Amino acid sequence: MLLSQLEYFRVVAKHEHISHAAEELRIAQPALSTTIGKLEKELGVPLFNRIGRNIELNDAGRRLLAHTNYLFEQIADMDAALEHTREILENELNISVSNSMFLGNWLHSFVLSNPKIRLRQKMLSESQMLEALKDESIDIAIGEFNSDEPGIVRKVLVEDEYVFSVAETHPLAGKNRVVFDDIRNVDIISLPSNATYKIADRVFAQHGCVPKIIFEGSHRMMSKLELEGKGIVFATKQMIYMMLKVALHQNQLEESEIIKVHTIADMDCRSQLCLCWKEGRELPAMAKKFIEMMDGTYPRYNQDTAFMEQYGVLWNWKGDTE
Amino acid sequence: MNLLQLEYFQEVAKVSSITQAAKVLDISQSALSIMMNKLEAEIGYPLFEKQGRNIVITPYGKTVLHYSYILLHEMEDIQREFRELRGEENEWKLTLGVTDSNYYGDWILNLMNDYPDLQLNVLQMSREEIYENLLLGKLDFGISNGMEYYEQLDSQLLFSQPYQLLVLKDHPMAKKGSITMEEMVQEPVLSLPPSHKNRLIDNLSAAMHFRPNIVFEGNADIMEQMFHVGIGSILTCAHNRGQWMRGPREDYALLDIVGTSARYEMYLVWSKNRYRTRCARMFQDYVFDYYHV
Repeated sequence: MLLSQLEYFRVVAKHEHISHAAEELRIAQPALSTTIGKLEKELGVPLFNRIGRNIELNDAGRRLLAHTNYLFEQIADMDAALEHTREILENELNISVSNSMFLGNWLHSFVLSNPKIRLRQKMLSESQMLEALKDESIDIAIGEFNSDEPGIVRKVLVEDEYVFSVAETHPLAGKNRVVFDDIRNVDIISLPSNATYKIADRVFAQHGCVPKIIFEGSHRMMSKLELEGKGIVFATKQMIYMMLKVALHQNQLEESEIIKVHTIADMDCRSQLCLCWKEGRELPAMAKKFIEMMDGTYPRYNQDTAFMEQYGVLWNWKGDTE
Repeated sequence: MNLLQLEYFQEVAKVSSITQAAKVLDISQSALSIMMNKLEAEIGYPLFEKQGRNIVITPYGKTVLHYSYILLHEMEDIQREFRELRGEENEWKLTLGVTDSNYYGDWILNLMNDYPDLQLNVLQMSREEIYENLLLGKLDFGISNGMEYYEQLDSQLLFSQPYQLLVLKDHPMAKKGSITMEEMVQEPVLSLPPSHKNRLIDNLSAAMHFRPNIVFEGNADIMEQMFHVGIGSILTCAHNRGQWMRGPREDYALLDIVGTSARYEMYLVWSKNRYRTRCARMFQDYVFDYYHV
């Protein structure tokens, strides 16, 4: 017994008329008669009473019709369930960000423009992220990945470097040129980022000392401390940029207040903010969209000169003076 | 989509390998591959994903697998119903899912004696598994302690009795005939292992929010031995006490548990959508008769 036979049977049962059914099914009448005949033979009982030229569903036929209706209901349910699964899968996005600041003012607009999204953010260290990408428990990782990793695609979002930023009142603010010795013993405020710790440790170790990190925590506290002259912020330009944007957005920064950003003349620590995913993987639709949006609308410090001018943030780094 | 495809798909899903499934189904690997590709194309979603040398079922595949059971069992139902319409007999074979494998009631023995041709396959499972397998058509009936509402399932309460504690007649509370919830907390009890789903002790402790003093967890035989040397008592109900007793009723006492309205309820459950064969109707009548429902 084939599903197609039952489909034909269902239409014949509806019309109780072979030629009308054949018309609906767009098949030849004799072929349809044969199909029904075969079905009756297989089931061993007639399904229709033949009265002259008319046919009429009999008791056995009604029983088969009940089964047939149920079967096709279930197939329709299966199709709906598959469609539902597709919708869920296509809208699922699992990401991990080394520092939530990197998505600060941006992520919510992505969520707003994709109302069906099912976004999950996993808190992982950079090395865990690479593992999670490989076993596909996350789709996308965002962080400072400064070297290539086999099996991972690394798309550089921002070419960046570590700098210092200080409030205008801080003694270092007035200097035109800052060298490492100027910051050797200064209190440092840092983002809670493994990549930042590693880089700070490495840079200071090169000068035979350890960084004096007095605070690591939320950007909200950081900008407050910085403004009160409690220390300098050690971070990438992108981090500082995002931090300021968030601070402005939350009305924590007066437009008149000025942050000065310095590069250290004799220090070179570049960093790349990257978007990573698994090589060769067919990414879920939402992940592709996310990458596309990151590429297009992600705010980058080096593309937002209007921001600096508007808020009087003085950027004093190598690239600007050259 | 045809039904043979679905049948083969079930096997591939079961063993997660085209090669293995082809062996079991005794067809060539390439034929099976082509068939699965065709099924995927017809359904329009990927059903399997390659992962190294193995294949893994996708979420779409899981959905199709679920419905494949329903569809194939429905086709089987058509055959069963028409076999009886033609005056032929279906196999006298029933698959039951039971929550309490230790409880069969005397009627199962009587039933087997009355119908020597009947093949009964009794599987122990949780309530949820009973519902699921009834909906998929894998079970003919479930016998379940407790019943939730499901649109596609029908059920009949067979009996409802208060939980009681079975003790030996020399137990300090045997004469009193009852035990309070406060005493219940202290009372050493024996129970089936936690791997046994829907344990009575869990049902009662969940209903009454208490932590029972379980001194032994293990299989029924050892429970019964420990019970008889007085290591602990057993939570049961009047209907089920027989399975724990060795001697005459006077050697034991059943204590009422004061302050609880929790009851032991047993239901016969079946799917509304399945055709009930003559054998299934006989079974249902037999059980209803036994319980006077």
